[in-house]
Amino acid sequence: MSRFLKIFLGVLTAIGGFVDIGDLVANAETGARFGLGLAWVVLVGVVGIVVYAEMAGRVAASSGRPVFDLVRERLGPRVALVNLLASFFINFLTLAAELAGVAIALSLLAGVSYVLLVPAVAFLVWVVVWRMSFGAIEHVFGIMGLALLVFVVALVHLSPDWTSMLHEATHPALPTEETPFTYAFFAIALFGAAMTPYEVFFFSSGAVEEGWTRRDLATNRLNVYVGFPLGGLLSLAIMAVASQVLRPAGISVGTLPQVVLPVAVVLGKVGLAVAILGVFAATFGAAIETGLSAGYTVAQYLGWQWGKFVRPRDAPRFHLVVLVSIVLGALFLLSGIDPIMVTEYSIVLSAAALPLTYFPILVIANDPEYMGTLTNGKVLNAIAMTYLCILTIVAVATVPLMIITKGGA
Amino acid sequence: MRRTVVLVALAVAFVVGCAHPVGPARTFGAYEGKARTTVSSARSNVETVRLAVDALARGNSFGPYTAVVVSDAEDALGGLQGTFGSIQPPDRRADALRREVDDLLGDALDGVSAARIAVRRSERPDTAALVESASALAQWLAAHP
Repeated sequence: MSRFLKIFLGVLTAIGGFVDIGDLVANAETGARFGLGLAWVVLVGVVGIVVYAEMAGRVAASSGRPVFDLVRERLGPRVALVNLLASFFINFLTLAAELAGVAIALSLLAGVSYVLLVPAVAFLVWVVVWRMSFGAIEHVFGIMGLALLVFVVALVHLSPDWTSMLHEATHPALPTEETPFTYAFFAIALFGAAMTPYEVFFFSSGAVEEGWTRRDLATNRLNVYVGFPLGGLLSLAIMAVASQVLRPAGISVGTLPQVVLPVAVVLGKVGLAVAILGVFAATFGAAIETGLSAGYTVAQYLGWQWGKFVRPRDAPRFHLVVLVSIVLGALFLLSGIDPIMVTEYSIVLSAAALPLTYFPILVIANDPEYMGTLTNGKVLNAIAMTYLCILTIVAVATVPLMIITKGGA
Repeated sequence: MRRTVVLVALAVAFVVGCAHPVGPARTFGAYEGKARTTVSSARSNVETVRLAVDALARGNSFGPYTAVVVSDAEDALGGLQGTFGSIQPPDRRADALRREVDDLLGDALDGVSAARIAVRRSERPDTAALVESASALAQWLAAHP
């Protein structure tokens, strides 16, 4: 494959792979409740994930080792264990939510309860993890996820008053029916959805699996600097469409099918089918990533042989963790728990645990022992430190806000 | 041991505090606030069904999708009615409010159930009932700011 095509494919994958069930729900829900009053949070979140994903990719390319492996070595087993437990729990919730997302997307075509489809979806995800190559997984689901661009098409087709939308986004105001606490809670949910920790674990472990070296850094930067912001635009389009169609009708988003309803209203059957395909691809891709991330974090902490490229007989414990996580995620859903509640909890608790993921990356990215000459520059460190402060404030505020707003109700 | 008990108590308080959005109402004001939240959610569900059914009627959507949307809304409305009905009204004024909201929720649920039956039978749902119900819910919300 030519270098240009590889880069192009990588950028497309980053755009399509940026959105998962957390982004879908959080963006549609905030659009329906707050209009574009929280659009600024998406921008803040995108800059944050760009800064830290680039750092994680650079750490992997210069040290040849993934983030979690280095966290244990650099910060010690006790701190790393806290990190592991928190990350694994949140990753598990996210995995369950993504499996539900796939099942719900299929149920919209089959017209049956999504619960009936959960076992088949879990099996399918495991088969793909087991059999499909790493590159194929990334590209197939990332590019299929581009179907979500239908939200951009729907927005353009709506011909909204762009000036008024821009004003709403740049002059955020609290809607009369909301409180400052719900505003802050949903800001945290959006931020958590944009900076979900599994994205970094998967990104850095994937870089190691694909054998990134310093020569791949340019590709890494292009993927991150171009792909993620364009993915962020996709998130904003979902929010804007919800604010144009659902908000005037007083609809608050409580289910995944409601997220694609505006596309049906604006673009009709074809648009709806494309949107459902996009939801399927986004959640399926993320289910694979979170399934693998479960294996990555545990195996890297415990020093086991790990990797999708490693034959299962050579890394049995890694593959077992992936399999057990998928099975437990499916069983969790079969208990009848509300998948949107699981999604909301996963993104909000992600926000609470963000410093645990990003602080070690910042420490390692400044250590010449691991990074050689590729340590962070002063400007990048200033931005990263600012973000670390934001992450800490968000982490401290999350649980009290969750209790005060009763989960954003 | 004591530390474990404190941690467990905190965890239980957290789960209870977050998972159940409708707690007890000790005053009329609190009860009215819960009624408002319930009616607002009901309106959201009825409007969702109205939009989905309208899209289907215009040929902008397909049956299985609409059936799932309508069933989800019906389940949600049933849950809202059950949850609101389980809250103890604190005084006589609250009794009247309870009847009023219960009637609204009942009408909403009837309209959505009828839509679900029609969609599952591939018949044309009665959108007028949904519009009427959504309008009644919106008017109630306007009257209880």
